[in-house]
Amino acid sequence: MSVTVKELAPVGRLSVRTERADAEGLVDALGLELPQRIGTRATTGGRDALCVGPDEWTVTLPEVDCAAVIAALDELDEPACAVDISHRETTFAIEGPDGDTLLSMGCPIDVTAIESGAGTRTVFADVPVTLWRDGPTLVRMDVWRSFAPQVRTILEDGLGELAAQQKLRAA
Amino acid sequence: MSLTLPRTDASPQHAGTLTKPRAIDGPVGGAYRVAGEGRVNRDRPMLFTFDGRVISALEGDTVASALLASGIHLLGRSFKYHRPRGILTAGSEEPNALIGTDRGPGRREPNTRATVQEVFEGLRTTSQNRWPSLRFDIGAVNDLASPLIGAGFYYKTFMKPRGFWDKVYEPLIRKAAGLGTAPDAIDPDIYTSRYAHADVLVVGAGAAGIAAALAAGRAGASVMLVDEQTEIGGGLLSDPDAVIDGQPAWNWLAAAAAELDGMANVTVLPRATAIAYNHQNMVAVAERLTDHLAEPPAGMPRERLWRVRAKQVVLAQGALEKPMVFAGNDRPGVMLASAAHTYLKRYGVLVGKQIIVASAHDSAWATAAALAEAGAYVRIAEARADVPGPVRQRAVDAGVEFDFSMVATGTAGRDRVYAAQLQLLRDGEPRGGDWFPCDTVLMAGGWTPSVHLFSHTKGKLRWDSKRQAFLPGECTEACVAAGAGAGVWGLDGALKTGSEAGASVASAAGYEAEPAKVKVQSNCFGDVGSIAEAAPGSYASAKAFVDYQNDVTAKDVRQAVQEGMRSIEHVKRYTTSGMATDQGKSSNINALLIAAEALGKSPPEVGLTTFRPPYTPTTFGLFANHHRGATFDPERRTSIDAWAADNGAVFEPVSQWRRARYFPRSGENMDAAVLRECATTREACGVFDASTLGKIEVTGPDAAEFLNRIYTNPLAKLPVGKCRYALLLGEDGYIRDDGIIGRLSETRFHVTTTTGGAARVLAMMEDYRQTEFTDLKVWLTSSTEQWATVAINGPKARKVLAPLVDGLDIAHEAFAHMSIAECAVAGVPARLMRASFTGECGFEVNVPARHGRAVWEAIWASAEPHGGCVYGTETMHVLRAEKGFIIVGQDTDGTVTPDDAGLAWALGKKKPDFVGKRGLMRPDLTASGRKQLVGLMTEDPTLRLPEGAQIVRGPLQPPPMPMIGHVTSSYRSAALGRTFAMALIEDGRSLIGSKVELPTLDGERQSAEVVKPMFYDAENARLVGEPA
Repeated sequence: MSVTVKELAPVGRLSVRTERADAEGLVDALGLELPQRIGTRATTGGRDALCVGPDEWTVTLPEVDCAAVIAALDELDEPACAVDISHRETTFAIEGPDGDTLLSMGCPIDVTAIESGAGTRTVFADVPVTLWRDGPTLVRMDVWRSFAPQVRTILEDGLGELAAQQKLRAA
Repeated sequence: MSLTLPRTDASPQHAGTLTKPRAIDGPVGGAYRVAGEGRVNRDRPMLFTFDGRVISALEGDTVASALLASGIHLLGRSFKYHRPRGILTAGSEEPNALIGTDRGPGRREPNTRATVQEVFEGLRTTSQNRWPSLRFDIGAVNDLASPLIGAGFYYKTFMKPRGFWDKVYEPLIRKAAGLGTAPDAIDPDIYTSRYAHADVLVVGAGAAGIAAALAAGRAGASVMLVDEQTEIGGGLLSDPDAVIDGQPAWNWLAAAAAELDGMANVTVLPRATAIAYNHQNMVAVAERLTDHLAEPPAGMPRERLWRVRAKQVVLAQGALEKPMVFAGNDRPGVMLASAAHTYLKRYGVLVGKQIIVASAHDSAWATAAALAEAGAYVRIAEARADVPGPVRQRAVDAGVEFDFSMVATGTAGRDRVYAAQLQLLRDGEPRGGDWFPCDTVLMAGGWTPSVHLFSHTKGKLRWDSKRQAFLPGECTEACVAAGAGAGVWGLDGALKTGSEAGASVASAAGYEAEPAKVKVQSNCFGDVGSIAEAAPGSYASAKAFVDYQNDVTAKDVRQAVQEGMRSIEHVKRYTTSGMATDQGKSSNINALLIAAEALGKSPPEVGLTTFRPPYTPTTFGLFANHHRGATFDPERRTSIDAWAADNGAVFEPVSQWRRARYFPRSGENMDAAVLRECATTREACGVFDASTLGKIEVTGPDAAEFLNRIYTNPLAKLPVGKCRYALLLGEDGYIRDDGIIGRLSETRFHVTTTTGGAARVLAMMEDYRQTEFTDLKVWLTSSTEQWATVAINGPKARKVLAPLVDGLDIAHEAFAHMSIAECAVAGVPARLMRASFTGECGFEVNVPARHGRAVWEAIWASAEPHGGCVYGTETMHVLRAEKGFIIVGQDTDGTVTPDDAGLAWALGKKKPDFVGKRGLMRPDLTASGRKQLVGLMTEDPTLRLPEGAQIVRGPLQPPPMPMIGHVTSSYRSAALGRTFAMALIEDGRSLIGSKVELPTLDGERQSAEVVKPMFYDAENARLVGEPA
């Protein structure tokens, strides 16, 4: 079976809100330029921003940097703010050629349409998740921590299904 | 050959382990196999059982084809009259041949269609609805009594006497209801699902569907081709004699299948039934994965639900042949002509040796010829006056005898037909007539396009009077119908319209597509013809069946019309025609034509009943999918949950969360544990996991104004570092939620909600933010799961917490009640609130969730030496009730205003507006007589009133007495040394000091005094707590 599911180590994660992604000082405060189109990402020096809504971004960064970014955004003239959601979520890495098939067991959207280096907010098995495609066969999935066991179980059931299907094909 | 069957106690029908087949009729594969015919694999024989009898089959057989190959036509007893029934069709529309299947422990299924179930080695099947045996069935007495139990029988008979309903009628009806036996064990199978996205979904892989898939696939569109059968081909699988593009049909089919397989952009799913066509081209497809396997691999799901979102859909579901309605048209051995054709050409089975064909359609003539060529004696009774020459010629060449203007009007036989009466039609009336010996009667009443999925879209159907059929009309979805499903009869038409449909939908999806030109020679599907009743109206008393599965006769339909039913919807409900699990696939049109004839109206005037999903019977397992067992619904757990489990907590579900309800010590029941936890918290301190409380971070320059408009309380001027209890209403003025709002900075608020209300409140706020308060710069972020929350309450709370806090003085004066600050607790950055839901000195420590358990353990280690305890939700409920604090959803029910709950003080009366302000001005919300929240003290201090108990004015009056309210919360209190309750009572506050009565179920009554809903420390002196 050619897909694995792995829970990743915790990472710093901020929900960033502003009406003007190009506001003065924002790039300095965040350490990167916010992508403007929903679903697109910008990645610089260990920080990764995904535009998830017209005025909303999810930014991953080293956890120790979170407090400084929150404070810096509070100082800007153009209203902008960051909320620490590092502990709200955990991340699964789904890797392998069958990864998209595994995701299709719970995601109503066409996950194959997410390009490498892009991402989206969606649901998996009715649970809200954020998907980040880091490569053709590598997708990260952010899940709220209390929903993670349910998502993990359904992903593992899916792995079992793919394995059984392979056995059936071989027979 | 040996057959090993695992022993099962599921049914006495099952012979434990069979090492020697007891009896096999005739040669391997059955005596009725025809050499050189069929697609079954003669090199792969297999054995299965039917009612314990061992049957020989070939790979590729269905249960129906294998039984017919062994000459078995009697498969079961009918639902109502217990009439012997056989096999009517060769497809999923089968109304008669319903059997029980057993695939091992827990895998027993009733009402499996024998025409769909594939045979595998060791399959066990049983007949249904018969006792003691299939051939001798006691219930058949119903058949004799049938004049008494016709249409509307239930409505008329079971009305009187009224008292008979519970004891006699209902148990009787329940016993008689349903076919087969429901499974008695938990289904051990796995059911799974996938979402799929395609440019083009083609439903049905007959000639039209294959042509459509080829055209769209060649154009480069992503295509899904689904078909309910075991392999693609549809009608082509029964038509090897046709020639397409110079090739025999099966060679063309194999080449087409190979080409589709070779296209990376095409997915072909056999054994996959499109069961529902939902909005925006979302089609549900049920794929059967293991029902045909003797030994499925472990972990393999039984079925998969595909939810296909297609840009374009081609409906190529073909058409179903109609039975003819005449007396005895349900006897085993009477079947559809097309079914006999399929059994011969696809399965190599001759259904009989002496065959009468009752025909109203050219297609029957080709069938008759094929059967005669296979060695049967065949005689056609053609209802029409003539058929075209070429249609006739092949039959003549094969030696088929025939008469025109002749109809079948009766059959004789018991478990198998042995004769049929044929009568000449003169001026539409049957005259004279002889009985002809036969072992099979075939019916060819014309064809009904399968418009079920099109119907699901609410697309308009149009009546085609020439074809006597409803056809797809105006579409509401992006779909095209092709082939017989669109009323196009014949192979050339199917290939042509299929290819055109495939090309047109591919173009619509943005691809350059061309329909293929296909040449077809030899076409066994001829011109139109249709007939419902062989001889309308002349068999009023006979058993001329319209709906086989529900035992509805033509007489029943006519009777319904006679008794005043005018719409087909009424006829359907009165007669139950079309209401069985086959949804009337073989009966709806006949019922309609008969009703229309009886009413003297055209069929579209009488109407067609609505087809509803699923297209064919579908397992509950498929619908439930992963929503069962451990994954039924997410069970959310806090980061402290594991500690609670390790320390003996008893849990309860609170919305999706699992929460610790109480922590019993050895020998304690819930009451004892809760009394101890309450007492300890009030005397020393208690530690509580409040992590499930909803939390929303509200940020932005207008955050304060936003909250001021959302909540009832004045919040605009809430100072930084302060908290306020706040109430949330709906526009109607009723309480929706409550919580504590803390201001962290000018632009940042920490808002808490109830556990169950978190998602709802955030959605409501987001709704107002985006649609009503668009002038405000404010943002909302759910932070419920970011924070673990530990509540510490009790006089020693400060003593417990102070040693753990860095960067904040939590002395009473320095950090007053209803304050919020950021600090460190146990070395972890924290948001600390001073708030109390118990009336004691209280703190709520919020720390990032991953640190939750460590901080909890640190706090507990500090609390234990002070004589503290941990407590659960039950103690939390009691302590808050002692202070008269409400729980939204327990003391409110969606019809309670702030004033009703005694919370009018929380209304910002000077505010220009807040959500619900105008609702509160409604006359009914300001009128007197509303139910108000009060306290109740029973006369007997040991008696705990049941929550929900109804309240009447005292003293007890004779019934019926007006009920003036009910108990909302009721507990034993350690602090009060007695029980107490809260209740919603009409004008309750004016009753304070008076007595009310509570009638109990056993006819007794309880008396209670109405009091203020404040039972403990009315002066709030205890909020101060001990100094650190």
